[in-house]
Amino acid sequence: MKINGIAASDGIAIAKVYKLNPAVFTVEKIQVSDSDKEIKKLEDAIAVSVKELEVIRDKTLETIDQEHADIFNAHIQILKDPELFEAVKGKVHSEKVNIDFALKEVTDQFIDIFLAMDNDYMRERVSDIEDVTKRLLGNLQEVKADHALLLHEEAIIVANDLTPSDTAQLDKKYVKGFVTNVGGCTSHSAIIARTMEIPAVVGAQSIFDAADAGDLMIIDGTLGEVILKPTKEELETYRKKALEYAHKKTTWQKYKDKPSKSVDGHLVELAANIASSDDVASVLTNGGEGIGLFRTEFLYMGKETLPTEDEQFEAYKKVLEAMKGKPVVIRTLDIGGDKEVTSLDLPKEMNPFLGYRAIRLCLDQVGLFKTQLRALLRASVFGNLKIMFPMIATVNEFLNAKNILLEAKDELLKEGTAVSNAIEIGIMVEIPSAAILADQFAKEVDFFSIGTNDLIQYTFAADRMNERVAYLYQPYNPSLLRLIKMVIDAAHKEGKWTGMCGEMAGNLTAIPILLGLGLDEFSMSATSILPARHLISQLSKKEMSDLANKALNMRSNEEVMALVHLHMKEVNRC
Amino acid sequence: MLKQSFLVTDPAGLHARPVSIMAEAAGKFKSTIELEFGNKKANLKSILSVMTLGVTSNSTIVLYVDGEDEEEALARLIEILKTNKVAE
Repeated sequence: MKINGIAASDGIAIAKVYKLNPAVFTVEKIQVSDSDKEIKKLEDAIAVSVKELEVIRDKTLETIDQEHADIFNAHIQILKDPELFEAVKGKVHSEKVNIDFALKEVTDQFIDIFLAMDNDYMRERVSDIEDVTKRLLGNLQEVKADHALLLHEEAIIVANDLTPSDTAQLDKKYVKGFVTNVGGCTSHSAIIARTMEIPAVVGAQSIFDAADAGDLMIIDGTLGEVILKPTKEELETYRKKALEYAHKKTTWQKYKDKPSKSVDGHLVELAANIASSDDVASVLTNGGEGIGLFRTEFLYMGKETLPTEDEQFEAYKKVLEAMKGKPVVIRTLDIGGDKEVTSLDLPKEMNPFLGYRAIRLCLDQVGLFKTQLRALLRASVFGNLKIMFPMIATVNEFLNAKNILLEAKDELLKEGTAVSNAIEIGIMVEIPSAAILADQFAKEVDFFSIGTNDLIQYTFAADRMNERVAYLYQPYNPSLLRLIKMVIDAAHKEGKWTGMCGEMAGNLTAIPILLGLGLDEFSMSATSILPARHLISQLSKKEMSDLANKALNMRSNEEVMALVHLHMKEVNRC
Repeated sequence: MLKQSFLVTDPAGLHARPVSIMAEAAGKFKSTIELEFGNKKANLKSILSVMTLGVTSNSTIVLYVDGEDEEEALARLIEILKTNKVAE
């Protein structure tokens, strides 16, 4: 049986199914006579739980990072919380009730307090208290929640959903891949899977119910396919595919320090998209030639107050220094609309994607914008900084933003702070009006970077969060390709460059066309860089230009995909 | 008894990570250690109690340390607040 999901992390896995069942507890109130015995049970359960969490924490530190490991340090402190313990103990003694019941009552009280707090961050901590309570109850009732950590043979994890901490605990030695019912390309589990290089398929709808523990399963994380109880033939096909993939991966590694050059000598830049300074290491190990998009939202989101200038400066400086003179495109604040920032207290809107967000908000709240620009300018002397404004719709918006930037620069220079003189200033092209008027913009900006996810959504008037109109997500539709061509041509005419920082730039079907259209910089997730460089090294720029011209004159997404796939087969045969 | 006030500089206020580090450190001392915010006090050895205070950035907190190892305890806590850039 074949089930299709979302291709979340490349690679092929063939193994038995290990189902992660969510633990179910029933807590009943029982009168007890020996309350000391109940307390002893709790002490034992705490000791076991602390040990479990220490293992998880150390593992996380080893495979992910300190920040994620700290989550489990906090969980350990909750277990060791004296107030919590005393409250439970008091309840057992005074009410003569069983320990499970007393524990649940007390933790529920804490949960209620947190839920009532006027603070999103604290309200979110409820999930931590629940997590710890479940672990304790599991140890008290000896109900072992299925745990990926308990795996000691190779398996594919099948779950309804995986929390980041679930994913963080996966042991690469045994976990060959995972499949979940829910989730999308950018869900935490998908991102961690790509970082750990475990094949994964998410959003596979009914997979949890369809699969039984021990069933043989194949997942193709590159195509987003899950095959449950494969036939002999399927098994053979995929074993071959898995070998080919392993072979490909070794081939890709050879391209790590090579230039991104086509067969006929045309050079492009392959860069990475990052969301935090922690991501830089993976950019370098994957042979990234720069950073094409540094999203700065992480500095603002999930916090009670706005980040200070110094705090931002440190984050930008860290990335610029780590990239050692390679280009780093930092996008100014792209929030509002669907991306909520607690500290800004923005009103809900009917059409968040068409509303008060990104540069629109920054041009209105100049103080907020200037803080970020000052931090960027101060960091500029530590590397090769390029500043990019998001959601630009009109030339005036760009000029206004640039003026504020120049003002900030003047102020800094007057204060005696050094600022680089070589900072390029560009815009993200994600609104059709900017693409259509690209020739005028090109006279003002230093570069363009095409944000395909939004450009597609605005061009086809299809909300990308709405699954019922998902068929309108058509990256190969000639209407979109023509917009992209307009932008690239306009930039080249003025001697400027054009990059792309949407999902499409790392897509192996899109790359031949984009190369043909003359795209200068491709910015993608770090793990896509080597496959992309390998592909480009096999393509001829001249032939791809012909291919792109053919594509521009077709009429549908499907026709263009078929055209590329036909051509790619020929490439792979060589 | 020792008493010292601080200004919370961490933009996220007293969030889980620093509180967890402080609670762990506090638990190792015999002294009673309390953290005051607004007009509420919490046992610093209890991560949950401190978090229910919901200490925000740019506010003042006061540490009260009382017991045989109070000096050592306060010094350790100040060090944690500073090295983690939580408060000054």
